[in-house]
Amino acid sequence: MHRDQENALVTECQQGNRQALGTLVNEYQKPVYNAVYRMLGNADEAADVTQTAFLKALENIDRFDPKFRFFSWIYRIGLNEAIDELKRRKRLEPMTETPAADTPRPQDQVATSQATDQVQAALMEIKEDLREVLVLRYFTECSYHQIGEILELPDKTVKSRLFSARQQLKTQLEHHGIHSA
Amino acid sequence: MSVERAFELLSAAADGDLTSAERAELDKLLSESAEIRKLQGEFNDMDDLLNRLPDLNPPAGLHDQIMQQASLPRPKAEDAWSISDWFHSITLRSILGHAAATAFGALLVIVAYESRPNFGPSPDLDDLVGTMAPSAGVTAMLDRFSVDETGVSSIARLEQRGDSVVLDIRIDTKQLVEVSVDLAASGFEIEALAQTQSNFESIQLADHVLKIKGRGQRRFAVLLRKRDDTDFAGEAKISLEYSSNGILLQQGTLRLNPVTLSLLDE
Repeated sequence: MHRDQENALVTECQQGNRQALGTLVNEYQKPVYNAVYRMLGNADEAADVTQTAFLKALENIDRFDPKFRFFSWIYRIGLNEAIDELKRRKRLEPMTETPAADTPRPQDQVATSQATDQVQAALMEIKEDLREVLVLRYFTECSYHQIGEILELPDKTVKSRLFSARQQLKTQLEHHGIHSA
Repeated sequence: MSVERAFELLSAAADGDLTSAERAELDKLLSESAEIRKLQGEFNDMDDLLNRLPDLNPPAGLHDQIMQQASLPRPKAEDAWSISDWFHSITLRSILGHAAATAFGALLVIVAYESRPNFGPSPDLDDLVGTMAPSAGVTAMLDRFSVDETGVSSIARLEQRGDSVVLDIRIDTKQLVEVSVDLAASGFEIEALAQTQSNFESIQLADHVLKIKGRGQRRFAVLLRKRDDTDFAGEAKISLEYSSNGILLQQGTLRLNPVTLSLLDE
C-alpha cells in the first residue's frame, strides 16, 4: 500500500471511519500474523497477539504520528506483544500450556512438513532480538532502513544483527539435523 | 577469521548491501578457499529454506474479531455507529437491574479437579472445561487482559467456546494474591468453575463477584451463562482486580461487544 493511501486511511480511522479501519486490518493482518507466528511458533497465540496488536494500535490511533508509516507502527506493536508473550510463557512454562486446539486450520496443515517445522524450531532457539530482525527481513521483506524504523535501530546495527542472527540460525539448523550442501 | 569475514560478506550480499570493494573481497575469498565455497553453499541453502517457508493465512475470523473489538474515536458524521455508543447505552436502569439480580445470588457448581502428582501428568483444564462447555474448542478469543507485575504474572482470556463463554485465568505469583472477578455489569452469571494445579486457598461468590485467593501457579476457568434479566442492550464488562494483602496490584476490564452478545443470545 502506498504511503499516501495508508495515511489517508489512518486519518479516516482517526475520524471514526470503520470502513477505513476494515481496509487497514485487511491489508496488514496477514503480514503481522506471519511475523508474530514466526516469533512465537504457535498459531493460536499468534492470532491472539495479532488481535491485541491491532486493538492497541487503534486505541492510540489519535496519537499516531504521520511521519512514521502505519505498517512500521503495527509491526513494532506486534513484535513487542510477541516478546511480552514469550516472557509470560517462560514464567508460566511449568503450567499446562495447551492453547486449545480445535479443528485443524489450513495454516497448521500447511506447516506440517518436517523441514518447515525444523526451521521454525531452529528459529525459536535464537535470541529474540536476533529473531525479530530475521522475521522482518524474511517474512515481511523489509529493507534495512524499514527494519531500522520498526525496531528503532540504526541501519548499521540492523546489518550486524542480521549477520549474527544468520550465524546462530545456521548453528541451530545443524543441531536440528538440517545439513547444508 | 576469513570464514567469519566471509559469512559477514555473504550476509550483506544476501541483502544486496555489498560495496564494490566488498564484492571484490568476497570473490577473492571464494576463489582462494574451498572452505569458503562450501560455506557459501551452506549459506545459500539456509537463505533458500527461509525464503521457502510458507506464507500462513491468519484464522478466518481474525478480521471480524478485530473489527468487533476495535474502538475508534466517535465519528463526526451523525449517522455513524461506533463503539463509543455502546458505553452510552449502558443506562442507570440497566445497572440497577443487574444489581437487583445479584441479590438472588447464583448457582455455583465447583468442579474441583485435584492435581494428582502421584498418578501421572497434570490434568488438562481444557478437557475439564470441555465437560462443562460442549464444543469446548476455542472458537474465538473475545478479549484478553494480562498482568506483568513483579512477583505476579497472569493472563485472563475471555473465550467463546461453541455457544458458551468461558473466562480462563492463569496466574503465577510469589505472594498470596486475590483475584476478584466482578460480573455485575456483564449480564452474565457463573454456571460452573473448574480449577487445576491444586486448590486455591479460598473461593467466595457473592453478589456476582467471585474472589479466589491463592499462591504459586494456579489456573481456573469460569463457565458463564446469561442472566435471566439480561437483554444485552450494550457492551458487557467483566472487571478484574488483582490484590495482595489488601493492596490493589492491578485492575482491568474484559469486554464483550453487542455484536458478539447478540450472536450468543440467539
